[in-house]
Amino acid sequence: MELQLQNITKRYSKGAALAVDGISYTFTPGVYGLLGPNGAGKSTLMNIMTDNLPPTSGKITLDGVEIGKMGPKYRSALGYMPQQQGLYDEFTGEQFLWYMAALKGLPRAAAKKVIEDTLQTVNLDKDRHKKLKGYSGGMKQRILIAQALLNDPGILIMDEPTAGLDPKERIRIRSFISEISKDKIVLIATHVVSDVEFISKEILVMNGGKIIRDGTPQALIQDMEGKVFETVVTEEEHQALVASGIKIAGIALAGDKLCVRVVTDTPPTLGEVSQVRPNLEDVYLWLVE
Amino acid sequence: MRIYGYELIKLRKRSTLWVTAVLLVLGCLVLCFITQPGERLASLQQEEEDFFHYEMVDGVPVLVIQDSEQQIQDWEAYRESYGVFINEMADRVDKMSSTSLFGKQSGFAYRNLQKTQLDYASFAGTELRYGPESGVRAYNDFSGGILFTLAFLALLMYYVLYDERGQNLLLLLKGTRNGHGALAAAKLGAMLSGTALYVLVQEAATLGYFAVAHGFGDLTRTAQSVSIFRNCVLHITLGQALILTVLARIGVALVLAAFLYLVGTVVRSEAAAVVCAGGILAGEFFLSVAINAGSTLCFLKFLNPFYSWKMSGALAEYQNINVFGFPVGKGIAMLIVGAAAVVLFAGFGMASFSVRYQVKTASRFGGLMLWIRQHTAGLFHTVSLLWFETYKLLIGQKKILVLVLLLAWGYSEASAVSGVQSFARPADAAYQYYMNRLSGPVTEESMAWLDQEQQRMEDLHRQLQELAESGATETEMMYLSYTIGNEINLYEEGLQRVVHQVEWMKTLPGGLSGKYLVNETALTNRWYDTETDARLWLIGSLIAVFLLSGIRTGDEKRRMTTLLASTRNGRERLDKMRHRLALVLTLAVFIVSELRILILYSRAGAFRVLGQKLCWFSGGIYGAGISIGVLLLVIFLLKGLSFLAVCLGTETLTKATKNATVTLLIGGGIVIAVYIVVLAFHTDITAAVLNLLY
Repeated sequence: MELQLQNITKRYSKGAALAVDGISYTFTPGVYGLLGPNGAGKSTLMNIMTDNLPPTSGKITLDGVEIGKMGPKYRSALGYMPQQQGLYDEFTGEQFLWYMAALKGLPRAAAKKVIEDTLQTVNLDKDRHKKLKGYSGGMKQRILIAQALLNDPGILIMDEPTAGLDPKERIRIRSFISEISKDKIVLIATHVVSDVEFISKEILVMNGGKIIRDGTPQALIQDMEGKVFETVVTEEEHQALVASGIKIAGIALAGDKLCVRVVTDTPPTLGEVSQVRPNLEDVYLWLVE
Repeated sequence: MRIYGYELIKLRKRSTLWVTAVLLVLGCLVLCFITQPGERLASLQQEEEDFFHYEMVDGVPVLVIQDSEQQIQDWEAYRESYGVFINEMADRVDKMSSTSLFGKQSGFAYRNLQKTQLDYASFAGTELRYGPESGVRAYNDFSGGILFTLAFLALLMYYVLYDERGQNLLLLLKGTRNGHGALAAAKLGAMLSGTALYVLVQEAATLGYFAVAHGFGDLTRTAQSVSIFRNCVLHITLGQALILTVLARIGVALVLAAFLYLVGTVVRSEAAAVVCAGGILAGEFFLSVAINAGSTLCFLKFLNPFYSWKMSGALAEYQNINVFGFPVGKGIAMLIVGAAAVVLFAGFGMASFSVRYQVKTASRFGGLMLWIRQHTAGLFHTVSLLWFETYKLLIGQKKILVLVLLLAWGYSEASAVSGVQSFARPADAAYQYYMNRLSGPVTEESMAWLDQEQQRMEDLHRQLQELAESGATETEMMYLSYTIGNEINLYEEGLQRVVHQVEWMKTLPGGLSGKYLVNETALTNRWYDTETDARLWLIGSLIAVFLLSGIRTGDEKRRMTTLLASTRNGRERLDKMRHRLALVLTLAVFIVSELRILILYSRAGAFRVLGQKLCWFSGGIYGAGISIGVLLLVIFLLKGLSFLAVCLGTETLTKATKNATVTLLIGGGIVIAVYIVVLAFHTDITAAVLNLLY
């Protein structure tokens, strides 16, 4: 299976800036992490990939066939999990899944089995008869994941799938996505870098409507070697660091001083400086800030 | 005060609340209208003139006479009886006091007698003036307004108390400095002021309706001039009585609002709150009708919102309540108990809001609902999109209430024309009488019976002639000529219409053979009743717009469209199902809105003469050779098409605006505009079709 984006652009109105600016990319089975700040164009790109928004130019093909021409056939292969949003308050979790199964065109018998399995997977079996308005944020997130999986999609597009989940659920969902990704294209848009750091085949970093960097997490991290430092500074030195415009990745208390993690080409000159191993958050910070 | 202001702003932004409020006021007016049968209304408008009408009793027309002279005589009798009632009060009290039952001076019965005498003493010599009473009577008789007020209150309670909690906003608010007492007071204030405003508007509209439809006459005459105020012990004019009634209704509504506020803060589930409040109010209603006025428990009847809502209950009827052996006037008791109830309900409600009303937690009712959902889950094990779309609309958006209202409206429309038939003119009544006998195929038997009737009329004329020539006394002459003359007046013109109809049919090709006698008057009256047709279309169309406006917009509001559209059936097929649902609902509305018309056609005997040609109508007023059946079918189809247009128009609006309120406002506006145009040109679909065939 190959999902190909060919020079996709999107301009919402004449004269407006490009929301998506000439993106070309080929997805093959595996997990892809899509990172980028708010307004980077992630949601626009996902709407185009789910065939909810026509691109201004360019095309998307699935195994060589344009998705617009495939219509329902493309959507049969698609699982989409939107960002957390209003749901049908009057539906119970189980009713919502049956409704989504109807929308996905599943036969009744198949729907019954897959709904049972999916409710177990997302750990909502006991809460299936509760109304959605009584669900917590995490439960709503899980029911949204469940609906995306109902049709056993070949392409799974997920927007912030672990937002609102507690650490245990976050790990559980992450592991599940990793498990099912062997024969699926999974695209996860997120702000939580750790969600995609360990399960992604490739990471795509978007900003200003473009993919500004892509590659395996290891490759991206390797590129950052020698650019991440920790320095133990006083409060005054910290203020001086901030004033210098250096990219600060984190601050922790170190006795009566502060341990500041910075991302920079050249080591900082203030405090007790040591080079540290970079992570994906450093990469993200380096690329988009 | 600022918190209260923000509560009002929040309510103002709830478009569903105020749109529903407007619809409720309109619904109340419609109920006012349909609970007043047309013939009665027409009669009442002629109150200052002589009038009479005819009712069909066991298939025979019966004259019902009521003329202004009769009314004046009745009123004069009332005035005399009122004078006697007041002037002899002291004597009656003296006599009753001498009996053992009332004689004990430390007892309630004795004190009640003395108080009654005292209360009425100042009414000796009260000047009573004659004037029309029908408006006041109709306003007094119409007590359906309390149901609309309760419906508004339930919605207001939901928006003031439950909506924010459902959105988990209440914890945020209650975490602030003024989030307990001040917020509770602000919410109570919003409920009370919202209620007062709604009742004021509703009652102003209702009074306006009765003023236009019946008139109240001179508002400066004493209230006791109207016989329903005979027992009133307030020195007020009729105008003041109407104002006091509106104020009393606002007071009753405030008590109910405070009660619902308490229920809403104590009961955790909104559904349970509605059931709980509904149960208590149903009990109150039962007490208001079931308890006898003379019972020791009569205070449960009188100190009751349903009793106090009625004008006569609040102002006109005289009653003292036994309070530890002392009589207390019903009005005073109502005021004290009402005020105390508001204070108590509000106090406990505010305390409950502060202490326990914050997050929605599992309740027993919630557990019961969960159990029900568990055991009915199988109903949803379906992949029918139509089923889910119906559920989303009717249950999710609670539009099932609109369907219930639709059925109630259909029932009331149908029942309004299912009772005794009434006619303004004797000829119409007699014609109906003959048509009940003759409508259908022309047969030898029916013609023979018609001949007999003609013979009977001739005999009556001959009797009248012979009477004039006989030597009968003047009294006999008067009596017999009155009796015979009435009989002739009643039947002759109607009979002549039938005879004329038969004569016309004889001139048609084939003579009477294979022809039908049709109730032409009933059918033409029905066909040219543009006001009724337009009104039914207006109400039906507004209901259809209201129902259909939620079909697509609900998903837009919840931002579900992207998710739905990314599924295999989430576009064309989903749209097709929604369209199918819209058609089914429109069809249901159309059928209900046509119920009254169908009953009227049935009553006119139209279904027995469907094969009758339109050109066979007397005088050949219609040129077309089509049958009545075809005509009715065409009219029915065209009306159906007009509803289909409403359906498609509303669907287009929902797609274009993606907003239910905007759809409702635009769609409702267009429907009302069409209604006004129809009335202005006095041509609805039926009239337009007939004009083409004329």
